[in-house]
Amino acid sequence: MSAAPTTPPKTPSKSWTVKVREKGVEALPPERLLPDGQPTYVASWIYVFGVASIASLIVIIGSGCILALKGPAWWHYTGVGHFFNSIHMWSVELFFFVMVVHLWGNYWMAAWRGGRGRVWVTGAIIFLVAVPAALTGYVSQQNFDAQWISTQAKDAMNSVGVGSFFNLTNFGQMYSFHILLLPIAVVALVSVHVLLVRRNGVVPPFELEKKLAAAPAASRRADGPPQASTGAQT
Amino acid sequence: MSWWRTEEDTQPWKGRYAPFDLVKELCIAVGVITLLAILLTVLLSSPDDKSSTIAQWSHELPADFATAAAKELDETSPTAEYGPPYNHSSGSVQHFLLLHPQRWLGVSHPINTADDYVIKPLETVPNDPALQSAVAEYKAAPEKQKKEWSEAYAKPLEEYSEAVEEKKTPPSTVSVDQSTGTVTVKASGAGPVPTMMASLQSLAQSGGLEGGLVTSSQFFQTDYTKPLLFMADGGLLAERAETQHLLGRQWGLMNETGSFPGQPWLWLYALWYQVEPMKTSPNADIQVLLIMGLLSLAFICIPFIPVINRIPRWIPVYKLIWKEHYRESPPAA
Amino acid sequence: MGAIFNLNHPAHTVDWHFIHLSVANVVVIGLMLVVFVLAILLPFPHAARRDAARRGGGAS
Repeated sequence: MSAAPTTPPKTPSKSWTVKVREKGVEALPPERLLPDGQPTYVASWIYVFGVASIASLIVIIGSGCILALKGPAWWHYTGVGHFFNSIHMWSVELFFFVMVVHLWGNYWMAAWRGGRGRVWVTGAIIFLVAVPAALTGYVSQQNFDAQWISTQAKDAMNSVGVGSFFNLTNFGQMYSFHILLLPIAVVALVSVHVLLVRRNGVVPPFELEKKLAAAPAASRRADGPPQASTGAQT
Repeated sequence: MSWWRTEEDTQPWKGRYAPFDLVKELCIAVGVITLLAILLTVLLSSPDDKSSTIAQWSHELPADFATAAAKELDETSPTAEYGPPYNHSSGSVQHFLLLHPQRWLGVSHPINTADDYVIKPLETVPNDPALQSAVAEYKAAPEKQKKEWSEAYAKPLEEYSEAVEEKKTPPSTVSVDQSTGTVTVKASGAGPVPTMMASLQSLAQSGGLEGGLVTSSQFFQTDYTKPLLFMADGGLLAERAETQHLLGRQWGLMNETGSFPGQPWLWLYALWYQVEPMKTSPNADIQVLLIMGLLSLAFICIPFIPVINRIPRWIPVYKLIWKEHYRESPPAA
Repeated sequence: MGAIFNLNHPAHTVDWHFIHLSVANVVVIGLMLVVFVLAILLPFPHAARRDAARRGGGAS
């Protein structure tokens, strides 16, 4: 392979790689992707619930990986297995707890303002995808709870036709959805959600609009100052 | 600015920034959540109520098992009369106005309750000439004869179940030996069915029926649909569920076994099942899911729904969230 | 697994009109409301941050 040129050519490139890279860097330059500062109005405990949601998801996935390593029957007959199952269960409760508090906070801040509609939309979809992710977990437990939930919830699935291709009583299918397909969906959505927050910045307070009414017109996008950080904690 | 996109005059922040360590914050958050999860685990652990088995069911509730099995043969059980995706009946087929998705999606997991739950398992029992002869006689008979025999056997058992449920004296046509789990049904005109059912009960109590229902077409199996639907046609799962507050009328879909928290995020979904007309409707599931589907769509679209997207400005919770900001830089008059 | 508090017994419930919730779920929902209120009311440590900002830690 020839050595890469030290200075990239200025002429427009037909390379897909270059196009993707340039678009990515334009949307999220490094100092916006990983900022080291945040607006001074981000000063409330409500702001920790977004990162707490991500943290809970990390613990869910970590404990889930350990359960997956040893297979679905392990936790029933070993103390260590039951320990990690408990971590998994409580981290799910914590995940929904902090995610809903995060949601409440963002509603009362009307955090969709200033072109941030997609941040709200992706966040809402994450919640709605997390519900079946949890459901598939409950029916994969291989205990009485799984027997009961699957035989009851199947009626709801069947009533809307979903049961014909999403069979709650089919352990193999539910386990696959739970440990692979739905976690991928949740992680992908969370990634888009967080990248949108990084791109747009944390929504400014309400009264700010009055203060900046006399300021020079700015672009609709939250560009922020070029050399300092623009994003903030979620 | 279009009518559905409000607050588009929100300006980008041009004010001060403060140093902030994003990565450190994430690490601290993961640490805190991990510690919380460990603390809750050490204090409370997690539930693990053991599965019920068909063997247990046939031992603990022998009459209930016999009734369910008779109804499977008779094709009058909830599963036999369910409809899609299991068969072409219509007992549990739901619709809403012109929407019939359950019927549209068809039979994708076919179950013939007489064959799958009774005939085929009995055909696997070796070295029992009386049983094999009874099964052969049943299979060779015309449909009308099969129906008469199985109804003749099922009827006394249904009367027995009803009497027990209503706490009345059960009929003498059914006798149950709780210690051995044997059920004797005095049914005239039942043909070979009593012999078949007695053998099915023994097979169930030996544990042979669990495997028989799962490994039906290949060695490796992960689909428990058949044994689960069979058990759900009986009363054992529901009996356990009622003790654990898991029934629908107990808001059970929000609950967990024991005293553990369940799925509190399903509160609104559970609520609709408790209000009319859904509470007593045979189409409750599709009605509730349609309502929740609409509400979920509305939830996603909150930024674009007039009035809803203005409430945060009208009810100033934001003044508490941004109180420091307003204190440091009061708004222009 | 030996937990310090054994929750493996049928749940107690909170009944109000047609509402019938397990105590555990009521506790979780109640805690969420309490935590939300505390999160928006409690002061957030900001003194160091404000001083750093004043010393030119941020943009103009």
